[in-house]
Amino acid sequence: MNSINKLHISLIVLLSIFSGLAGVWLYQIQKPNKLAIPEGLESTVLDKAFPITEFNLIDHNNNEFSQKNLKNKWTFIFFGFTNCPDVCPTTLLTMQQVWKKLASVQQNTSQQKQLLLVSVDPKRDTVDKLKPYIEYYNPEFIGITGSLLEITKLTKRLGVLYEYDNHGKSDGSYTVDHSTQIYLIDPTANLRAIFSAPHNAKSISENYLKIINFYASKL
Amino acid sequence: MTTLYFKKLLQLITSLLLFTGLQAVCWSADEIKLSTAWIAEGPPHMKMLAGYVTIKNLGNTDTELLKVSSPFFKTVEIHETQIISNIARMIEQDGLDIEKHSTVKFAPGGLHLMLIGAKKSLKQGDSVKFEFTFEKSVKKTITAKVRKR
Repeated sequence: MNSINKLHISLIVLLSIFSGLAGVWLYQIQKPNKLAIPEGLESTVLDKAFPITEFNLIDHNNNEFSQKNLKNKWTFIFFGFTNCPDVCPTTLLTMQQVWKKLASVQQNTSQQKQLLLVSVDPKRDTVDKLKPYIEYYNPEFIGITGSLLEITKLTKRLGVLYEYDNHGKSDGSYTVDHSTQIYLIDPTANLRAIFSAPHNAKSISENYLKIINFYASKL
Repeated sequence: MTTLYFKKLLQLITSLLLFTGLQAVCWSADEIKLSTAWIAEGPPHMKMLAGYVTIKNLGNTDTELLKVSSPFFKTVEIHETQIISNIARMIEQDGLDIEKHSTVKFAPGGLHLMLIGAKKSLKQGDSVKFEFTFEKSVKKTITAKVRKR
């Protein structure tokens, strides 16, 4: 075989190897990354962590509650007010059922969790009102109140909407229109998932378990 | 023949008018039925609670629920929860239409009685009387039981 033929063969071999590698590379970048987020869930799982920024509020025992209290456990947060006769009690009852379901399946107590009801009516929802209210539903649940300014830091960060409605009355009474989503924050204080209404205890608990198991080794 | 015909026609028209008139008077008293009235137990010392009821209009005429009252609460309002684009609102109902031959059911997530200013804490098993006032001064009373959601 003369040198030109050898050169041709070498070029063909090199080209083949290069084409093969290019093909593999193209396949990899086009193939969706199936490990990015857990799939097939009713909840909306964010594909990128969304950090919860600093805030300074208090819990129903008058203890400080801030962003650092979100670390090292999974946190469900939803927004409401104690003078809410229908939606908020129903949501709390659903979460009560979620807690019961999780208690029966979760053997691993290192995966700690907490539920926060953040008041969008801090004027009326003082610690004195919040404590018996939240403890009635579950002594593990946490009521959060504080200054409206600090509460608004959290609502703005999460995209929660709320508005006072006096229904045309001048007697000082009002209700509060508010977002109904339940937010799931991971142990690094990043928003991971959102549960939209209607809230179903079975769906929320199953989704929660899948999410925390998925992220167990990744956080 | 013609006179007889007109006489019969007049009799028919008169009967029809009387019948319709009687209908308008008689439907109101007995054709509104209230049932399944209950109050959702709330946390202790809660002054604001939610009540629910089922209203049946068995009559041939539409009616309107004008107001609800109770000696146990300062005010009772009718509200409807609406969740649109993930925002919950309570829309106060200034009167509630109850169509003929229909049932309106108050239930969590929908229509509810907003019970404001309870005289004292209520717990499961307690009973509270309510009076429902409909148009044409029709009043119906029912006792609601307090129970857990």
